[in-house]
Amino acid sequence: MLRFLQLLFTTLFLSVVLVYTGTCHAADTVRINGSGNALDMMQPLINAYIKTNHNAHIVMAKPLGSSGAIKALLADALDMAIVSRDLKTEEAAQGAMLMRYGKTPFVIVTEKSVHRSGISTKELEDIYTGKTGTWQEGKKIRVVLRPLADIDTLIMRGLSPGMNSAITASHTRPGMVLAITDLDSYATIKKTPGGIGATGMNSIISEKLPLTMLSLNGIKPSLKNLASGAYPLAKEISFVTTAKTTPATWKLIDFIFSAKGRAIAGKAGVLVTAGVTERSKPH
Amino acid sequence: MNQAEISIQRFSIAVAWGLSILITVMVPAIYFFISYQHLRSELVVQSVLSANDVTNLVRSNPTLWRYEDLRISEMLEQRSRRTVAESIVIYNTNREVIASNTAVVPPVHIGQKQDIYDAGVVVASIEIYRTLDPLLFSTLLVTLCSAAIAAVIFFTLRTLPRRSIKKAYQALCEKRKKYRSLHESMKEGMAEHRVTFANNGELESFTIIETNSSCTDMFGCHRQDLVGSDSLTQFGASFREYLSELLRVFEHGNSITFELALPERGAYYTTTAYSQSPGIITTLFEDITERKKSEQQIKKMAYSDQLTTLPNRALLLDRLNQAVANATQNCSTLAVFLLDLDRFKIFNDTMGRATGDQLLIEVGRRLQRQIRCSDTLARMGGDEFCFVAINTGKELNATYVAQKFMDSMLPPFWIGSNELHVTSSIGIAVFPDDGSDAETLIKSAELAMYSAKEAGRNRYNFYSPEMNLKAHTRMKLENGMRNALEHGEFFLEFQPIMDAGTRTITAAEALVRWNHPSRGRIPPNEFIPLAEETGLILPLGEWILRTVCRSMKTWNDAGLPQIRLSVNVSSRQIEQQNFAEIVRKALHATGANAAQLEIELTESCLVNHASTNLAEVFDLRSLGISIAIDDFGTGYSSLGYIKTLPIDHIKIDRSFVTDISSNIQDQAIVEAIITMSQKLGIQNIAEGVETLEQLEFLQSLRCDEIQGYYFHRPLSAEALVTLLRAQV
Repeated sequence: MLRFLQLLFTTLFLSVVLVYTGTCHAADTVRINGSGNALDMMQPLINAYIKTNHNAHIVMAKPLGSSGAIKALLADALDMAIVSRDLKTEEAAQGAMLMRYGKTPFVIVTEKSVHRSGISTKELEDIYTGKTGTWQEGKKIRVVLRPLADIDTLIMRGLSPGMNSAITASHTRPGMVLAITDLDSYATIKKTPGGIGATGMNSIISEKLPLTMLSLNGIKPSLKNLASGAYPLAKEISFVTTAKTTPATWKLIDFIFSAKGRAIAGKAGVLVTAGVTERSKPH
Repeated sequence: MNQAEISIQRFSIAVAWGLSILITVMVPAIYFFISYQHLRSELVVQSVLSANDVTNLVRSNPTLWRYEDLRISEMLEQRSRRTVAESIVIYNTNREVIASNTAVVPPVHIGQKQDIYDAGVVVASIEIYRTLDPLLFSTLLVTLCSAAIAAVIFFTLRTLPRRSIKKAYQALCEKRKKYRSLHESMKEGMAEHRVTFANNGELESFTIIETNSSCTDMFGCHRQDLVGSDSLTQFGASFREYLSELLRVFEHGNSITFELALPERGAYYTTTAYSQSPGIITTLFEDITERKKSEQQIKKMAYSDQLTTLPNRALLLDRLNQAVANATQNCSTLAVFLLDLDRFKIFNDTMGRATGDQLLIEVGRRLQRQIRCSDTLARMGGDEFCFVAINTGKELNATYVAQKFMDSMLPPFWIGSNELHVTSSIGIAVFPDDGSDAETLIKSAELAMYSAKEAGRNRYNFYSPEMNLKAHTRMKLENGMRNALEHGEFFLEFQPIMDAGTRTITAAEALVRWNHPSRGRIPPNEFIPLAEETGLILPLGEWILRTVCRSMKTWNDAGLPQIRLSVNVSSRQIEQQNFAEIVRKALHATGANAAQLEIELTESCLVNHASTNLAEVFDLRSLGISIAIDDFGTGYSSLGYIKTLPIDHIKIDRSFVTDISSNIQDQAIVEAIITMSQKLGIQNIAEGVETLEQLEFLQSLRCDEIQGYYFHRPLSAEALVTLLRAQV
């Protein structure tokens, strides 16, 4: 799968380079990177943006994750970072500026062969602590964890105190599957029999992932339930810029924050919470 | 504690220290070294794996890989030991930190660096530092454990061997003490000898190297006198006799036992010799002196009569058997005398048993004085004694012995205040005539003794009637001869000796005659040998000498021609120390003319007697006495004495004269004797001349004097006087 993704990104990169070589100037190049889920949201947006901005050259490499993207941004290796968390103080101190954009339901997913449609917090706690080791049909439950420092882990911890403890316990269990990035996470769940994990719903939608999204405590993950507050888990999507952010980048940001951009994002499973003008108010 | 013990203890302590230090130092050092190497290997593997991971990251995202914080952080967290402080830092080529974990590594740590490449170019490096604190801590624990183990080992090695050695030494000392105690308390004397051999295999030395107190006591000397001395000298000739057997102990390895006799100490030892180590022989001496004495005493009691201490019947039988065996082998004779006291029962009954016993003791003593050392006198029981005489020769000797026994009984026995006159009856049996074995001989002697009893006691009796007769005849003759001298039954006859030329009487040989009161004249060849055998020849010879001298004096005083009167002197008379003195006294006592006296000696006298006795006899010539050799030519083959001895006359034996007329050999012999005597200046006398032919032949040879029946038979003194008077 990784090989496939690498091939995909490479192909995309080459196509963008070819288009750019033929139609745009180098000054229109925008290097973006960030959280995997966020980048999944970006793909239809970039496609739409390039259709109208033939000179635009969007470079989006393999996801670096929120922290890596911010770091690369601060090191001038990127023009914009798309992250799923707030800025740290030191990042802000270095000139990073955050613009909130929206959020996508953070969905509990299973491998396709698992015959479940929903799960409770208690069940999740038992699964993560290892108390429950098999699905009802007898298949082994294989939990795909995320790094402790990753925002996905923090979101899961916030589900309940029991879940917080269960997450800690799960990381002490030997032989657990650990996915570093969002891309790694859903790719691993997809190919792991009896696998269970969590990812942003926008990635499932945009990537058409063959995963089963579970309702949590009977609440289906949807933008409506998220917006109503019925669904408790959500993953933020924000843009980080600096004072050095290029105009081409701002132009792309403007497109993303535009109505069209919002519509494309909403279609991709993102509940856009930022207003149209908020793009000029970086945090 | 002795030197060896101290040395062993020091050695064990040194070993304990060495081992303890080795364990204390080496075990932690080895542990640290191995653990360090393991840690280094772990770090190498970890750094290589991490470098590979990062390299893969670089390869997948060559431009932005360094910003993949999460991935890199996660990689940096992939550690084998999360509990150990470990710093992982990724540097770019400018030594700027790309990523690192937050761990702080103490100053004591181990590090490992691994380069990260992209397309063969170093783009970064990963350096891993891990603290050595856990290793140092575990090494410290190992050190403490090792030290504890070392302490235990030290204690064990220092204490246990020491304790074991001490115990072993104590046990050894106790064993030594026990051995020494046993050694010293041993009743047997023990001596150890070192035997050395020269290169040629000959015995070089046999030296005493150890003894116990029993040994020194047994041999009556101090230990220092024995130890170091020569065994063969110390333990006497008897020990030396067993030398070859003693040395063979080394070869066969078995012990040998022999009896060691030390006659000078009157001691006997049963000696057992064995060898337990090469070159060393141990001898154990058991003093059996008392046992030997007891055995001897038992033997003595078994073989001797308790009352008289004489051998008893058993011993007599044993010795008699031996004597019979020897006599059979040597074809010699022996005689068994069985002596029984006459009427002893009456003594016993009347005087009491004690007196009887004392009488038996005294009788035993007297009898013992009569026998030779080689003979056996035994008390057979009661009042019966038995005597075995070997090499008795003629039966007459047995008679003599029996007579001696009977004579020894003649003096009265004084038992207390009682004077006892005792006689005995003796039975004699002679081997081989009267029996070929001991029992038969004794039985024959008993029968002979009973015969003597029946015959009236106080006599001896032979078992053989023939011998009995001879013996009794002899006894009678002997008894008669004793009386004859006292009763004047002896008288002299004189056979004139004529001058061969003038046919005048020049001398006369005195011849003793016995006129027995009942038997009449007894031939001289019957009583003279008996007189010599019994010693009666001595008084008889002295009587003859005195009688001759007295006759000579009487005849001289009567004015008769002074002829030589010759007297035969026997061998036994020459044996007398004082024969010359007797002659002198006789001459002196009678006042006879010594120049007329001639002493006739046989050739055997000249040979058998000591030169001193003969010298004294020949010294008589200084008185004028002449010496004649009687029966010349029959006794001695050597003529050397004629040359050396001052002989006056040679009397040619009658055996040469008898056939002188017809026998050429006799003629030659007589001629030779006469010629020789003439040449030597010795007068010669022919004996046994009975015929004219004999006389004429002798005259033809210029024989000096003639004696024989041709002229005169032996004459009575009166007849001789008549002849002499006629010759005047």
